[in-house]
Amino acid sequence: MVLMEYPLLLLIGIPLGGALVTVLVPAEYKRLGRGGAITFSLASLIFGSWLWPLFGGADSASMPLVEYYSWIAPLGIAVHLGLDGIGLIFVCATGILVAIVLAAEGLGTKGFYTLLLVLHAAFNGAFMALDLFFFICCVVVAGGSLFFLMGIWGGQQGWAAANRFALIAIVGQLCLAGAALYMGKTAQAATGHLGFSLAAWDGVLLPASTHIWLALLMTLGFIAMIPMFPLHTWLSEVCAFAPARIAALVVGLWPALGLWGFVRFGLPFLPKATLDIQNPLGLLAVFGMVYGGLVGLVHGDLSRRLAYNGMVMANITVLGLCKVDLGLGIQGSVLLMVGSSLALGGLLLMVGAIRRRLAVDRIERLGGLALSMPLLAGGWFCASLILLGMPGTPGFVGLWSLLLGSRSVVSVDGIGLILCLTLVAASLARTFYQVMLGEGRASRGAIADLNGREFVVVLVLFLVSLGIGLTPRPLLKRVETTAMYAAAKSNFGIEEDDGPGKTGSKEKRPE
Amino acid sequence: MGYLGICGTLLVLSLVLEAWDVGNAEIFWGGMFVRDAATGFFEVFVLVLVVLTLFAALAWGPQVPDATGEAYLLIMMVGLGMMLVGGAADLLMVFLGLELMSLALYALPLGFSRSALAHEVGLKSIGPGIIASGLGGYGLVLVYGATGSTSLTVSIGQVQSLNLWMAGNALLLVWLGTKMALVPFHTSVSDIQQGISTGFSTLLNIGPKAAGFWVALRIWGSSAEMIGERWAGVLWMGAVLGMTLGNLLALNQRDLKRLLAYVGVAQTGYWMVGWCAGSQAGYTAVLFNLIVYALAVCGAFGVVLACPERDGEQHYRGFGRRHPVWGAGLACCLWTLAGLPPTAGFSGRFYLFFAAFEAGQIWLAVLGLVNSAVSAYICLNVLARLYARPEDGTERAILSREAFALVFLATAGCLGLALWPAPLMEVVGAAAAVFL
Repeated sequence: MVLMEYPLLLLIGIPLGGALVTVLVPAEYKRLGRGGAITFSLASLIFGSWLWPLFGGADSASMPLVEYYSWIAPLGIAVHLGLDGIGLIFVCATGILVAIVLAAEGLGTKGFYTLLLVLHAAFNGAFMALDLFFFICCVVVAGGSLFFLMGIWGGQQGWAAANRFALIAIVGQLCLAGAALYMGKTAQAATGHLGFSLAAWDGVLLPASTHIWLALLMTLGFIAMIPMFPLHTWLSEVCAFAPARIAALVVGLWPALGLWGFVRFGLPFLPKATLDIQNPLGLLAVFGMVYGGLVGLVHGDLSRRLAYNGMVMANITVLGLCKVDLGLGIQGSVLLMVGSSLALGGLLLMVGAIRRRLAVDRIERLGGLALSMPLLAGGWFCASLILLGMPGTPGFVGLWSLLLGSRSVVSVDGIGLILCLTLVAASLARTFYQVMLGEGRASRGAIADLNGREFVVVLVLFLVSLGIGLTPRPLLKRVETTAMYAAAKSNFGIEEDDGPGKTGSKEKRPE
Repeated sequence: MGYLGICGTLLVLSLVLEAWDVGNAEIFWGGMFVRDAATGFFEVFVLVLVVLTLFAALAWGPQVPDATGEAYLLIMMVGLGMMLVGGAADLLMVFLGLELMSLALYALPLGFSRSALAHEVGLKSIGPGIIASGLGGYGLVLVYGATGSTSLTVSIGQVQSLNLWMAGNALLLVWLGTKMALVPFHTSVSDIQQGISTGFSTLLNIGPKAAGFWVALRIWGSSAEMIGERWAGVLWMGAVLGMTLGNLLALNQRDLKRLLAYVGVAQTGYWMVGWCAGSQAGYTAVLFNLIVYALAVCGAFGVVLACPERDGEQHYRGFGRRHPVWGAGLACCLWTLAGLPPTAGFSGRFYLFFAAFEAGQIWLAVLGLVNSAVSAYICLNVLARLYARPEDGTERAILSREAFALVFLATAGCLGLALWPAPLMEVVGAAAAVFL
């Protein structure tokens, strides 16, 4: 079949085609619209899983699938796609979360389903982008879809959350676009060809003086997504005011995009600057972890408390990029990110279930839910353990890799990591006690427990997490090849003088 | 009458396309007129703009019972003036074309508006316009005195008095700056836009800007080395002030027509970035952006035509929820105007900044990028209102076939150029090469 010759394009095309089909479904056939959207989303997930055997073999390349399509030829912008082990894992995670979000609640409008499928396609595109401008395009489309999803289907404050999210996303993408412009120009001066992909920048030397500025621009672009201090403020707003299922998507996938951007674009091109900024970045991550951990411990809103716990876990993944053993650090970060995405997604979906029944987010007005909602309490408990990285969960493998990659346990990041995990554990335990076990509100009367659909959604997330946690080897194999490649690759050297960029020898990474 | 105008314009368009020859330039009418790749390109641009404006006028017509055929005639007169400007090889022909265009544009708000602001708008457009024309005419005389020629192809060797020549050029810049709504000549633009009937807004927003920029590139594009060094600071300031002020003023506008007017001021600033670059890449970027801007503005005004009005302002809160297709059209056009990917606005904006980067104008590119972020925020603000929960109200949307055709054509153009910009970039590049 001709289409199968373009597997990466299909990974974008399936959800995008689904969006077109959903638009054409008459508005009154809501069930059909949702069924179609879930089908296309699952088809993309299944197709992604079908590519699984191509990755992680002993003789497999770091990027077995690459496709190139010219887009804006005069400007050197191309749809240059490449799927590696980490990208594949995030593509599959996207498929799982989108399908679950589509199935999680009652019927929505066709606009909702269309935007979710566009979002799915944009995330898939971003996780496969080899061209920085195509990556920015996908991120902007994903951000735009999320902006509408939060605003239109959010509550009264939905647009406020969407605006905050969009503003910070714009700043981040602007920084990335600036960095891309400069790198494209330098590559053109060196090779005579304008381009923004990995291939176009391969082996081009950068002036030493601009190296650090480029690294800062890229770092700002990515930390706005992760989110790190001081560009973290959107996270709690989104969790508090956006629809819970959209918040689950944002918290689950947006930080993954930032982390992935660092691995694909930040590390390979700016090795020297990466070394220079490793310590400040690590300190910023530790600060973000401590800040998020403390606020998460005491905040009075259930959704915001989860948001700050999510911020801690996302900042911990950044520590993986600041390790002496970068390959091991990246492995740990990816595993931890997958685990926290699934766990936070599940927790936020359960927050949505609570909101639908009680329309309450303040913890002081909740309490004793375990009595009337035992399934919810059980699901919450399991998801909390997954988020915390208990043995048998993906987070455990990730945290273990991170600790192995550290200089020593007695270092700022090592101590910060252990301290913040303690804070998150305390926050989750306190939340569980206050919300599930605390004093019940007698005036509330009986509350319905999770219904069949909600229970299945939580169960699927739990089983996937458990599956990865108990048998992490297949995932680790796929991450390992890519992580080692990213750690070893240092295509962008540094010129000692400030002369124009030109091709030349590559700088060796210090051992 | 309107449909007759559309048919006639399409007929002329087919003739222009048939006669489009990108070979050697031909000069005729005693050196007054030139026919080259650039002329053909601009003529096609003007004719398409006239067709889209006629659609807008047809959509607006039923709202005004006394709308008559003269309005369509005036629209086509604007087109004629712009076409004369497009092929002008002499300052006298430029003057003739620009003033023919301006006179028709002065008459439109005065003769065909139901707004109480019609007379104020007329005064605000005629007053500064006539003063600027006077200054432009005087500048023309000074240039003639300094060089002994009114030809646009004057070389530095022909300049006998440099100061006189520079003074003449400065006055010409004021004249063209008023047409282009270049800061600081932008002050009455928003009032005029608010007061003029929406049926003519597309033409008023795009026509003078396009013609002004075209003339500026024709006059100074090839003489960048002559004026570039002396005027670099002026052009730089024009670009920065245009982008920044336009965006800042648009930030808090609730009226869509005023907002689009200030977005237009910001666009002029962006185009100035390409002019500052002074290279073929810069001019190509300017022309590409011109087309994208024209399409996006036409689409946006198509939706404004359909929006119900309350107290003289468009009541578009929740309009996107009530009419999703129209809302999507406006969203697409605003996304394009903001220069966000993956629209054609992004390709155009990127080309501009890259040209500035290439020309060593790094700070200009950086300021342009920052302003693009503000543009994006403005766009998102409007979209938030467009899709907010609708307020109660009895106003009804005016969903005409003509307005829909306008929105459909413009949106299709924006999306088409986003997906396949390369063919147009080639054509535009050939036209831009003529300026050098």
